[in-house]
Amino acid sequence: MTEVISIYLQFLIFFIIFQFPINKSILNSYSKLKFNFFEIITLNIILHLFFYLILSFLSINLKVFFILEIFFGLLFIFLNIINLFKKNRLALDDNFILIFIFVIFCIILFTQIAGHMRLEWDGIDHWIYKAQIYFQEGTFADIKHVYFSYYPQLGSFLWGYFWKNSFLELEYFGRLIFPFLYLVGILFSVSGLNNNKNLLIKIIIIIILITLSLDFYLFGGYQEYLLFFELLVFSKFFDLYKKNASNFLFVILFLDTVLILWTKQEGFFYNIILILVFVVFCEQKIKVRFLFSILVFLSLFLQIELKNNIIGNFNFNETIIHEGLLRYLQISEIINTFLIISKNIIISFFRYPIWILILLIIVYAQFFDKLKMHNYAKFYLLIYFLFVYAIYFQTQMNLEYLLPITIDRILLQGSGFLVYPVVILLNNMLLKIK
Amino acid sequence: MKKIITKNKFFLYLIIILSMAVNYNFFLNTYTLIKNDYSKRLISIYGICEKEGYGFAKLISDKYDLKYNVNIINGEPSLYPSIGGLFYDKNKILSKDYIILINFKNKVNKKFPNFKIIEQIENCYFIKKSNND
Repeated sequence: MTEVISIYLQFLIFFIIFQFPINKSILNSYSKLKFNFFEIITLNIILHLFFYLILSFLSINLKVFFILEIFFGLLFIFLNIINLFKKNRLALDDNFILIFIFVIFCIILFTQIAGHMRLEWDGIDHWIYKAQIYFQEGTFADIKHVYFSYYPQLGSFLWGYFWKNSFLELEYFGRLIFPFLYLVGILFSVSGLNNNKNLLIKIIIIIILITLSLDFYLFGGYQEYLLFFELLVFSKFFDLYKKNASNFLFVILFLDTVLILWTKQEGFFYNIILILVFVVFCEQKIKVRFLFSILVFLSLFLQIELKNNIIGNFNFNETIIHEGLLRYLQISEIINTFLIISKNIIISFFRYPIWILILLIIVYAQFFDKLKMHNYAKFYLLIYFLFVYAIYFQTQMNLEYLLPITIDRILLQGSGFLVYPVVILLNNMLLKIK
Repeated sequence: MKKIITKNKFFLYLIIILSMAVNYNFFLNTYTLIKNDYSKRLISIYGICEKEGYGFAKLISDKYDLKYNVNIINGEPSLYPSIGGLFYDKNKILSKDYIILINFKNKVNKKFPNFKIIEQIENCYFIKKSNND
């Protein structure tokens, strides 16, 4: 029973921590932007994750940091409650019910992970070593002693940090942050629809998204849902940024790219894709586009420098340019490789049917609906698939072995960016049916 | 009329939540958590001397209180990864003198001629380099 109660308390910890440093009152004082509960909690998560990333390089007492987080989180909850009552009545709008649904889903997912707390292959084979280092109050410098030291450490830091700062200090408590972020991401993409009307449609969309994208296997120590969340956040905030050129959102978008970079190795390439999306579609002055590109490129170089200096190497799993690429001088080799990759992509769509939804909605909107998908999302889709094909054209490993065990995960993480544009279209379609 | 609609909506939300809870085995998982403690579940998931062999590795870790990280080799590497990550200690170095073998169906003496068996349960072995005696 203690374990069950601790799981609920772990949810409370996440909920409390991500209530600060931003709330509605602060936003109203300093910004024209209006955000709902899930947008504010997402902003807070991005800020916190960025601080966690910095902490992962430092050698400071994480317990003290955690206690401070809880203290300020509770303070902000107290201030939020006062603000609610100041209006003489509780603002029991849709978001209140969505928060309730969010809590229930979190508890359900947390309990499932606790019941089947198995660490899956990559989780136990390499990600846990870095999590152990942070659980044992180690630093970034300790990472050089473990396998796959050149893999980014943000996800493992979160795992180790919340593992250490849980009531029972059991391993899987650290991993509960991933379903929490995944659900925040889903609710974040849906919460702003319809100006708080048609709650049922929102709930239907939430259930569709969760049913089509949830895979408990990936909560077994994989980092895919963290990347999924970060890409989803970029997509929605980028859409908001296009409409309101806010400096605050510019900073959030940049911080999000930094987080993506330090989550998985693929983050390096996602950063390049996101620079392209930003530069082509942000609808801002050239200097803004230039500044964003420069900042992201600087963070890429900073990563290379940090890894070279502290860990001793900056690697991808393989060298990018190699002699094996000469095999593509034969057209038959290009066609064969293309067919094998395409076959596995189609198979993976069935593993993660969120892709079937994405493609169906895009096709339907394109040919049968007035509301089309955002151009930035179509552009991302194109560049993203070029990126997926490029990965497998470049590798020297046996594709028949590599593709079935990796491509489904790459597709899942990449789908995060398309969730928000698809949610808008899906909502539009459901409203018409209603 | 408004009351009836609100009531119906409430029941609709309740049914949705309940069906999701049942779909993701919420009640069964809660029952499992209450009935089986953490270590029991670890053993049921990773096995004692089968699968990843958590039970055997834990036995060695507790019994010998080793001053090193020990290499844990699974005899079925295409089916199960090494469980070593669960026992990793950042303050210890990896020992070349001790090895834990899980699911090891080959003859240990042939594969590791310079090692002697310290502990054995079924196909799991804890071996130590002989010249360190």
